[in-house]
Amino acid sequence: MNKFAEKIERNQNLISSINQPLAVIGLDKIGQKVAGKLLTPAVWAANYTVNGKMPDKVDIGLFGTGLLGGTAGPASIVTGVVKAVVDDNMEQKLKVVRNSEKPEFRQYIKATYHFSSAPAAINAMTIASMGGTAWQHSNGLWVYITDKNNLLVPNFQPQKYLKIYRPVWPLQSMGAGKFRFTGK
Amino acid sequence: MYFKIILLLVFIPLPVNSATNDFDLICNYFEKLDKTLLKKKMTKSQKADFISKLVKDNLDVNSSARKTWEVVLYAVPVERYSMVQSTATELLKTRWQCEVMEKHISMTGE
Repeated sequence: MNKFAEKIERNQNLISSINQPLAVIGLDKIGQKVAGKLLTPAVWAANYTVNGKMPDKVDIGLFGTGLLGGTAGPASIVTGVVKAVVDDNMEQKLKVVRNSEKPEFRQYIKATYHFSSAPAAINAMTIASMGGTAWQHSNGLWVYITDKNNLLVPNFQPQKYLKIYRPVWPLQSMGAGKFRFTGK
Repeated sequence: MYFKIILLLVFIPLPVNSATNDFDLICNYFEKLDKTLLKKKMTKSQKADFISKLVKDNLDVNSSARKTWEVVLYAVPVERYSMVQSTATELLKTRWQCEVMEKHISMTGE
């Protein structure tokens, strides 16, 4: 199930942007053909986990009236299941990341996934451009750190990382609250 | 469990590699920039504006490629291409590259 959750985390925006071919393949796979509007709960789920966007009434109607075999329930159940799987997977990884750092920093380390609706890797760059340190742990999770006042920390040195983004030190303002950042 | 099985079936064949993606579109914009530079000189800022206008006009605000472009302009210039490449590769799950972007991006934007 972890791989499934990772697919959602990594592809969330791609899924949203190319949902038409995904929908076609998804329906073919489960042996269903439908003329006109094509959809899959996976697309809704991805949209929900990224943007909180729920399927419209037509989607729910088609889904609920047997498009997927008649035994499927409301879309909210599907999105709930998916979100729970993703969140659980991320929490497990976050624990590992936190345990790789000194105890005094652990509670301030957070997943970049929750920073904005963009994919985690892009959020990491955004955080660095705003003056924070973000890094990818060897388990694949992108994280960042704040201080106790929830402010980004520009010069944190994680003990374990695959990739790290942070502002150039000393800070170089680029205007509009942004800073020059670097990646390694 | 029924829902999980359906969702797994839907996600297993993710066709992310087959569709034209927004990172490729930005690569195309650098092709246009490359051709334009044969006809006239442009400053770093003008080059960034050239690409940014095409990105804004054609890519959705939620596009990962658009978001990557918007933030990578704040990166150290010589590191920009590798950042775009690694981000695209991570999201597309296939090695992504764009030679013309590699040629110009470090001299695009301040």
